[in-house]
Amino acid sequence: MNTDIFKVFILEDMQLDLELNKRQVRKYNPEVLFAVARNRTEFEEKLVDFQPDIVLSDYNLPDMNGLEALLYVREHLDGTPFIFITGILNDEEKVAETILSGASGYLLKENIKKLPELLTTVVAQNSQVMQQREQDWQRRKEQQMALQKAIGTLRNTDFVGKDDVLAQLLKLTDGLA
Amino acid sequence: MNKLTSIDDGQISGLLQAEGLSVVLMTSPWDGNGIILRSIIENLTAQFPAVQFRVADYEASPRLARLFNLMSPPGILLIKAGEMIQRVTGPVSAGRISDLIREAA
Repeated sequence: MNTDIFKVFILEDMQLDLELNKRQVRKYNPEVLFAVARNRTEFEEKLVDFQPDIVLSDYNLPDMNGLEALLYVREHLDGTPFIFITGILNDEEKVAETILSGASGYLLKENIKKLPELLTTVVAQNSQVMQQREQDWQRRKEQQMALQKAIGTLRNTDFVGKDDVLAQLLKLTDGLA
Repeated sequence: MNKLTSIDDGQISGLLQAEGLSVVLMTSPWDGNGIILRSIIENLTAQFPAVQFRVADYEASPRLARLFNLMSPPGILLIKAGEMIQRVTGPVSAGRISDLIREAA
């Protein structure tokens, strides 16, 4: 990653468990920015805008389950690592199903102190994916900036059809965002 | 007196470790909407003495831009105890910013 700051999205409805998760993530990397969702609405509102390096998710939430969350991440954030941290994912078949569905790992809440170790492993396994995402982001940012500056220059120039050209360029910037 | 203070990538750690609410405006000299937002936020500093107001230059602070996933300025970010509470991009009214601050504080 270009930035050595870790961005972690936590999907957890229990405040105490949320704080425990945060504490263990900070042991792995003290330079961390969190985003938190406690239900489906917050999850879907915040996830894509935040662009996390990793998602930590409880399995049982009031209005969705962890597998739904995982599938949403896979649909919208491609290969972003995803870890279940749950009190009930102790059935072997369910664990297998979870991993096969694309989770990067799971941890029982009673073993939360092992989270820094698991993060080390998962981040190492996904370093190539994370680097690729970083490069993609930089490329899109540069395109967006070039377009924004061009729009700024055109705004200060008079020519026939200016409004139409600006409208088209603004549509393009929306598409890149 | 509360005021809008400039930060850059070097102050990210302090920003993430601050317990209270921080409001960060990312803008650029060529960013017209950001210039207006800067003026709005400067006027809000007196209303919210417990909030730390920060402004960062978008192009001079690439790590901050990446951290907040901001493709282009302007952007307003509300952070509390290392957690991003809100992220607003593009033009936004003074009333809306005030509401977001009250909700997050």
